[in-house]
Parts: sequence; structure tokens; C-alpha cells
Amino acid sequence: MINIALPKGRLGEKVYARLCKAGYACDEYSPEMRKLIFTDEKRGVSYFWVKPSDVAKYVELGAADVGVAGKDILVENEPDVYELLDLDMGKCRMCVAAKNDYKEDPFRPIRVATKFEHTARNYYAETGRDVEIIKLNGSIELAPILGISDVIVDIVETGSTLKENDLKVYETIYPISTRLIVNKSAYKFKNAEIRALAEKLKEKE
Amino acid sequence: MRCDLTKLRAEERIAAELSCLYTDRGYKEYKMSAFEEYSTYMDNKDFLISQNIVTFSGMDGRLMALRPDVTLSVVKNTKATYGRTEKLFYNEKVYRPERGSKTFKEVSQIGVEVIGDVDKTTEAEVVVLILKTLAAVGQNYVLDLSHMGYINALLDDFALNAEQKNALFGYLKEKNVHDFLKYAEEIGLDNKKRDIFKSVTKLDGSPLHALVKAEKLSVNAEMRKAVKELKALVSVLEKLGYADRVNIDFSIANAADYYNGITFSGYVESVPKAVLSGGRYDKLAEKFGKKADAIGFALYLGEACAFLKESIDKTDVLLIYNDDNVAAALLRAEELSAAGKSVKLAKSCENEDFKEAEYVK
Repeated sequence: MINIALPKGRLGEKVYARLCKAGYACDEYSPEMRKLIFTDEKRGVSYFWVKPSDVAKYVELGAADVGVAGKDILVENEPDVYELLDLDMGKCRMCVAAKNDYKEDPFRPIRVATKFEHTARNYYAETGRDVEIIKLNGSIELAPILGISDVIVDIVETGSTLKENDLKVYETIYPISTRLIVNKSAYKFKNAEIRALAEKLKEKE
Repeated sequence: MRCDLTKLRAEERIAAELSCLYTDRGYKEYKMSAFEEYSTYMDNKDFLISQNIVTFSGMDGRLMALRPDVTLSVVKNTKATYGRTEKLFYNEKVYRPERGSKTFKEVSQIGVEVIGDVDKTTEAEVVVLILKTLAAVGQNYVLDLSHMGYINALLDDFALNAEQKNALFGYLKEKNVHDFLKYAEEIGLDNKKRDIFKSVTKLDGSPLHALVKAEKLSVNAEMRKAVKELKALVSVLEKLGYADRVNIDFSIANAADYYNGITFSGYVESVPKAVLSGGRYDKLAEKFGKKADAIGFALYLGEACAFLKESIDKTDVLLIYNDDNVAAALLRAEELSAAGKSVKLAKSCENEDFKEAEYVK
């Protein structure tokens, strides 16, 4: 039995559809159901939905053998897991964005609003720039508009939210896509099953 | 008085079993002082699991540290040299930051170090001790073997700068082929090198197949030498009946500045991360100016036990006493313990967890 942690939301449903195509469907499952864990004994899989940013934690701690997480979460949390596959879905990028008319003042630290504290800190440390991180949990774009930060470090998909709010991308930090991650211990004790799953997912690309 | 080990908590039971195991093989217990100078650790920070250390000033103003690790202290303090080999084990509390929080935790760690002459026999003995150590933690266990000589020789052949080397180590650790391929393009690694590294990253599994593949992928004498060493070791383990317990896995990327030969990473079912790690660390011994080879491993007992199911046994007999006859109660308790039962003296059955109750007249 392989336990799989899926990210709640549209992307997670797409990933589940892909897993079904690869032969890991779960007969018990329907989108309306309220059950938290659903299992298909015959095909040897069990799924559960969790908040996307928590997937890596569930996998690292062994509650799930396998999980599906964005590269943004993996870079931010550095979980001790194997990253077996790039599923090439959920593509976007981690960016530095600011107001259209933003000019950097080199004499004081940049105020950065972000959900991705670790990512932002590392990025500016590499460039040797002093920063003041403002950790927010949502609506990051508001921060520069209301003047509590100079820039934001956030995920940009199409850029339309930025555009509508007179913001623009200044730098791309790294590209993001969805990855298949595996718990290290599970990889040892369920090796054949996990490798087969990764192979089949790869074929269905 | 007899002591039934199975009645102890997992952590104590495993620690006791392992102390017997190592002592029976002639390993001497090493006790370290609780504090060492901070510089000992900071000079070798890449050797540590975490670089966060509990520090404080000593009475004389020196910056001291609460031990985050034992190996560094063993190597620093040992008098072992070639011709005078020391076989040691330890069972200590170490202090490391708790993952995902900003506090330190105290965890028990048990380990073995051999310093002096480390030949093929010593190496094999240490690996056998590892396998027995893992077996003491859980019935279903696996030991991953790798060889730093193999990885280092491969990366040396690529002629990379330090940053690129680090990046490749990272991909190897994650078994991350897709990001490596993108990076290889970025730094302009040629196709042949790219394909070799890709294959090494994906290489894992039973030693027979994996080592044949590893040999084919070797591009220099150093790599072939590493494969030969692994093969010799594996054939010994096969003869001892451990064939299905070992894997080859080059994703164990221990700090390259310290480890040179074989490296290990041990897993036990139901514990989600490696419970044991170690390897051949001649380079660390050299850093401390020792003329000696060294090999060792550490079992993260505290961390592992957090994931093990603990069977909390009820008291066999709850002995309800009458305070007017103290001697009778204690005599009966002695009788029952002599018969191998656990006994608890209590005034009444209220709020007690027991298998059977007995009243003392």
C-alpha cells in the first residue's frame, strides 16, 4: 500500500487525474465526498488531501510515502526527502515584484513582504543586500501598494494580478513546477512499488 | 536481582542491549565531558548535523559548547595512532536544535568509533555491528552503503568549481535527475559526463546489480578502486547472511571534507528518516593531526524511539494493603516479584491500571 499526500485544490485534482490514468485510480473517490482518506485496496493506494504547503511535511514525517508539492514549498522548507520527478504541471515562477515606479534606495535595507521568508532571506543574502522581511500569509500584493514594503517575493503565474495593481516583476528568482517527492525510509521499504509509480507517472507525461 | 530487559522502555532497552553487544566485541565505553570548547565544533562545523550549538562562557571567559556531537570529541581526545588502535563506543545525550522550532532538544545518541589501523577486517566488523545495531532497533531494517571515494573521484573528473560541486551533491542527495539535467545545460557539462552523473544519481538497489553498473560507469582508477572495496565488503556480508539487508545507494552524501571511504545510512521500518549514519573519516582524524585511520557510526536513538510503538504494560498484580500490617504487604510483594510478576502496592483500586488485584490480609 502506498500512501499519497495530494495538495488540496485545482492542481491536486489534476494530479489525481493523472494518477488515475497511470493506473492508480480509487473507486471509492468522488469529488463531492467529505471523507479525508480514501483507499483502493485492489490497486494498493491510499490518498489524502492536505494544504499544499503541508504536503512536504507529511511526506518527511512519513505519514505519506509519496507526495506532490510545488518547488516553491521544497525550496522554502528544504524537507529531507527524495525528489524523483518533475511532473511539469503547475508552472509558475518565484519573483521579486514592486510598483511600476519603484526605485531602490541603496542606503537602507529593502523591506520585503513575503510568504516565503527563507527563500527571500537566502536570495538577498546571496546578493549581499540587507533586508527587512515582513512575513505575511496572504494578499502579499497589498504590501507595496499600501506602503508597508518596497518589494514582494511571491509566486507569479500569469502576472495579471500584478498588472491590474500597477505592479511588475523586477527579477525572477527561480522557475516553479510540481514535483513528486518521496519519504526516504519508504523508498527503502516499498522500493519496487514507489519506483513503479514514478515510472508510470513519467510515461503518462 | 534479575532484570528483565523487555520491561524497560524501548530507548533504555536498546541502549542496554547495544552496550552489551559492543562490550562483548571488546569495545571500550567512552565518556565525554558535557562541555567542550566551542572552537572544536566551529572549526569543523560541516561535520555536524546542525551548526546551531548551545554555547555559554566558561568561568575563565572561554566560549564553551554543550556537546552537539560525540565523534569530534573522541577524535580530538584519542591517543590512538597507527599500531595502537582504539575501539570505542559511547552512549551520550547530545544537544541539537529541534527541526522547525527555535528550541534545542536533548537526545540520546549511541555510536561506535575505531581509530588507528582500519583495515578490511575492521571495516567489515564495524558494518556487522551496524547491522546488529539496526536489528536491535527494529526487525525490518536496511543499510545503504556508499563510497565517498567514488563520488569525489567522479566530481574531480568533471573539473567543477566549489559552487557547482555543491550543486551536484545536492541533486545526488535528492535523487533529483530533472533539476540536474537543467543545471548541466546551464553550466555546459558535456553529454558524456551528464549521462554518467545521471546514471549514478539513479543508481540504487541490491549490491550485485548496482555494483556491476557502478563499475561500468567508472571513469578513473579511483572510482574502480572504490567499487572494488564495496564489492569485497559486500561479499563478506553475503557470507555472514546479510545479503538482503544491504543496498548500494550513492545518494548518501556525507560531508566530503571529512569522509573518504565507505559511508552508511541505516533505516528501520516505521521510522521515516535515517536512524543511523557514519562512514570512514580519515580526513577528520587528519584535521586533528592524528596519524590514524578512523571509521564510525552514530545511532540517533532518541529520534528513532520517538517513532517506535511503546507497549505500556499494566502492572501484573495490584496489591491492596492494610496499613496495620506492613510486613505482610511487603512479604507478599517480595513473593510475587520473585515469581517474575510486577507488583504495585496501593491503598485501593481507584485510578489504577492493573491486570489483577489482590488484598493483603
